[in-house]
Amino acid sequence: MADTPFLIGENMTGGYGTVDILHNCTIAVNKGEIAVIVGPNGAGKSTAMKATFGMLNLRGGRVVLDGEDITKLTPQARVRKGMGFVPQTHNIFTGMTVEENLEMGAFIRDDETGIKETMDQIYSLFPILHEKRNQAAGELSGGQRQQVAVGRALMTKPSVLLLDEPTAGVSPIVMDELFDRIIEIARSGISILMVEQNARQALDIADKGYVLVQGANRFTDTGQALLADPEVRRSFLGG
Amino acid sequence: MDILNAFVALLNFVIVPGVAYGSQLALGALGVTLIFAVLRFSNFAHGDTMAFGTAIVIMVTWLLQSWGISFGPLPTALLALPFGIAVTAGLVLLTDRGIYRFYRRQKAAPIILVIVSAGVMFVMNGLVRLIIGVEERNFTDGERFLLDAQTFKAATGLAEPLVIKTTVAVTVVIAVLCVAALFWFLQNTRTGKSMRAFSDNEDLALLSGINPDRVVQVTWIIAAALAVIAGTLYGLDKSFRPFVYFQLLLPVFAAAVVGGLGSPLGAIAGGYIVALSEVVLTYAWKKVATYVLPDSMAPDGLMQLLSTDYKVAVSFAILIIVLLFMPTGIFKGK
Amino acid sequence: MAHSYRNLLLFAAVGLLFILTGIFQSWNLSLQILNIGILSAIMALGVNMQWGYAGLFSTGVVGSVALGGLAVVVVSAPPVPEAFAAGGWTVLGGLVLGVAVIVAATLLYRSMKPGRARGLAVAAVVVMGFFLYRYVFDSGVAAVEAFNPATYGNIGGFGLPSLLAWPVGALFAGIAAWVIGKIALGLRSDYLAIATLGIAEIVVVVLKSEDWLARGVKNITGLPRPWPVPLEVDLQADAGFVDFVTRWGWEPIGASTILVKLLYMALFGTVLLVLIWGSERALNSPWGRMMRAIRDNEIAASAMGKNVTKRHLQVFIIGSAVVGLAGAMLTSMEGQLVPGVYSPLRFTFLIWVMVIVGGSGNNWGSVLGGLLLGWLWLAVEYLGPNLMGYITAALPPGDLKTHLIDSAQHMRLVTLGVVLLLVLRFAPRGLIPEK
Repeated sequence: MADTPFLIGENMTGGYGTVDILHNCTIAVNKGEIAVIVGPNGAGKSTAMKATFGMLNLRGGRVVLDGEDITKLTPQARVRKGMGFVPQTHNIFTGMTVEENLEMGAFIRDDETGIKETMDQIYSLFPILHEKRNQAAGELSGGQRQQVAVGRALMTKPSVLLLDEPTAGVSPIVMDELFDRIIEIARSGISILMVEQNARQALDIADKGYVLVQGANRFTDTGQALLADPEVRRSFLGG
Repeated sequence: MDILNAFVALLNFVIVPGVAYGSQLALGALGVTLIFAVLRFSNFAHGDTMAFGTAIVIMVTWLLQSWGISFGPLPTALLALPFGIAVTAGLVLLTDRGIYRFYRRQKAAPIILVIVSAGVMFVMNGLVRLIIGVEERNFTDGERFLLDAQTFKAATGLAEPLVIKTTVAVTVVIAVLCVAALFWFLQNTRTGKSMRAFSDNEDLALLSGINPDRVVQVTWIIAAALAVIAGTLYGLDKSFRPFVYFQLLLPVFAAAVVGGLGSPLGAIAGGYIVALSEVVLTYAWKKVATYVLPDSMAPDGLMQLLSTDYKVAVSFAILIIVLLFMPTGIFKGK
Repeated sequence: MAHSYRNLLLFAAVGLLFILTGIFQSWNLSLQILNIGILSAIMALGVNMQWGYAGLFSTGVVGSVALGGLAVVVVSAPPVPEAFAAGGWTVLGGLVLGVAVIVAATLLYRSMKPGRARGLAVAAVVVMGFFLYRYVFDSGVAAVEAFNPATYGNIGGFGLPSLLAWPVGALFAGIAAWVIGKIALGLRSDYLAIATLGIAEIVVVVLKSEDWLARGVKNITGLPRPWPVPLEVDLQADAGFVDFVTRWGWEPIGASTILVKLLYMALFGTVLLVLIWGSERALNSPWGRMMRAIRDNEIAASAMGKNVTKRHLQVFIIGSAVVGLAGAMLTSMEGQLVPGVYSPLRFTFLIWVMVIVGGSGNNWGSVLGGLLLGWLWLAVEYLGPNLMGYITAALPPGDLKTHLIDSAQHMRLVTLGVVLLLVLRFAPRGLIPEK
């Protein structure tokens, strides 16, 4: 099983315009596991993740989801195939209530009772959202907004969830809290692919870690192994 | 007694006409603001969309009248309204399909869409003149007054009459119904919510699987319906002339900008603010003042702050004040 | 090389249109259309500065044109000393007072701390100032308008040469552009379009309803001609001229109208050439390159420390002034100020179509667009009803036929709109694209 990952972006080469950002980059995540992409600024971390979601033109390589080649699909089509994506910024509908944000997340579903069920699951995962369900999402704190953003993406019942720096700009306490929730989500069988600035904490919860430098894979191993690797520590984790 | 007379005069000449005109502007501004919220440009063709829709309504009204169909005490034009809306919505959807969609897919700058909408305005303006000509048209029929001067005077014994034209009552009732229906739609239906989501955060709406073409189409249909209703009510209340509808563009824009472009609630508030300011500033206050002030202080002038020619200056001044002091409008638009 | 050849061909084709009009209709008509075409080309140059150089969309071109027209009245209309004595100073005093109130309110607003006190103080100054202004101004207006309203009723002009009015027209339009640009630039791009729509409507309303200024809708006629253009009747009375033309076998009346139009053509043509020369130099100077850099990437330009709003204001004023200049030239050629002709469709949107069809950002393109569409607009006015007459010749006379022939003029709007949309869609760079 471990040899055929649930989602894999294989040998991806490409960029937004004419200049390639990714060079033969491979990112994968297994069923129910957490994979984390770390690396210095400008290493193409987010780009690599967006590439698996179809947000840039690939000139080489392919993306396979659950055995199906999805390289040619648009992001919207990938959502329907079971991928959920939480952008780094502008990831909620600020003018709409928390509950409406979740409803919009479920826009492609039409099983009324199923939606209600998923929403209850999200409320039990993030109890604060239930408390604030009728409040405009834009009025919430940073950490709560991230919860709304993750919750919205979970409403499609994705099989894999892509998170672009979910802890950017939140306090360390909130960060730990968010990571706990992310582990919880992974335990429910949803694969998580995540880009993180806070490399140490993220690798700590990761089953698999990818260190990217200049759009190419530099180190790939389990999270713990990377944390233990002296070279990774020296170059990327500040000793 | 004089105070009461003054109050009735105020109601009759300022409040009632102001509220009716404000309702018409609010409906027009709602269309502009919805287009702005979803398609992100100021639609210069909106005034001529109102004119086009009203022209169709007038033609259908004439047809109905020639068949001897009437709507009792209410204007026949109300029966013709659905046809006007259908034809205008069709035309507007065609322009979107044939013109605007191309630029949307190109992700063209908003200003390009503004220019394109000016081109559409040109075409629509010409179409309206081709269809119905440039002359003034009156198409109001049915009962003229809901409350006429004599009834009011007899009932109250006041010297000043309060007159409520049927068209004024119809305007206010229809505006309230439209606004209620629109807000219910936006707040409670899936399509309405998807429109709000699309306006709030287009990229995220796409990620959530909201179909942008559908959102855009629904928006055009609603904007067209609002434009036709606003245009028809304005025409019933006053009269129809294509050029006047082109000139309505400025107060309509002013209303939308005051409220905050993209904010439906703002458009309604803006409509009434612009209309009431216009009426208050161009009304000759002599009559009211004569009742309120003692004889010794009776005014000799008309006490009109601005001549009615300068109505347009009122919308403009409001626009300027908003741009200077709160560019996102009262209700924080975009 | 291939480009300049193609451009030359385009200009030759437009020239041919005017020659054919001369041969098949009349040279008088052809020259008249050409003169208006040249003026349109100048207006298009002004709009091109705003749009082509800086990407600013103004819907108030007609306002600048009308202000140019007003300048002609102010500068060159004969003085009306009696009316001016009666109330001229009071009117001017009222206007100065009005401006003073605005300045006072602005200063007060700037000097006080934000808060309720400031709001109330500014409001009080504005409200009291308004009543004071109206009191002074209205009494002056009443006095001016009371004087011989059938012929005058206005304060009159300075009676200076008409040529002087041209730069004044540019100045008027420039001042208006400064005010509006100061407010609307630097905000969303749509706001400039909306605000200019408003100021243009107000300018036209002022011209229509302020009788003391330029007699409003009663129109001012008989404005003097710009040097060196003579009146046709003077030419016809001139023995030397009559002698000269009869020797060449022309009849004096026709020849005098042609000569007058040729003189206008030379005058307007000179202005046009000077403006093109100036614009080309400006466009290829560091200033022009910076302008285009700002247009193409505002964020990058402002990151490089360019004050985008200030540059926009600059070019907006210059462009409006050029349009105002053309507006003044138009009025001094027509010899009358008729506020009714200032329609936004004719003077705002037609000019826009000229710029876009000719080629946004290219001065020669604007000139070509101005001449071509200037010809089309007027030619269709003459030819349209005739054409519709031919088309409907087979129809029996009746309502439908009259309706169709009447509607020919409305077809102009539709055609122009369709042309604009087609060019924007399929050839957005226009006939002569930007280099």
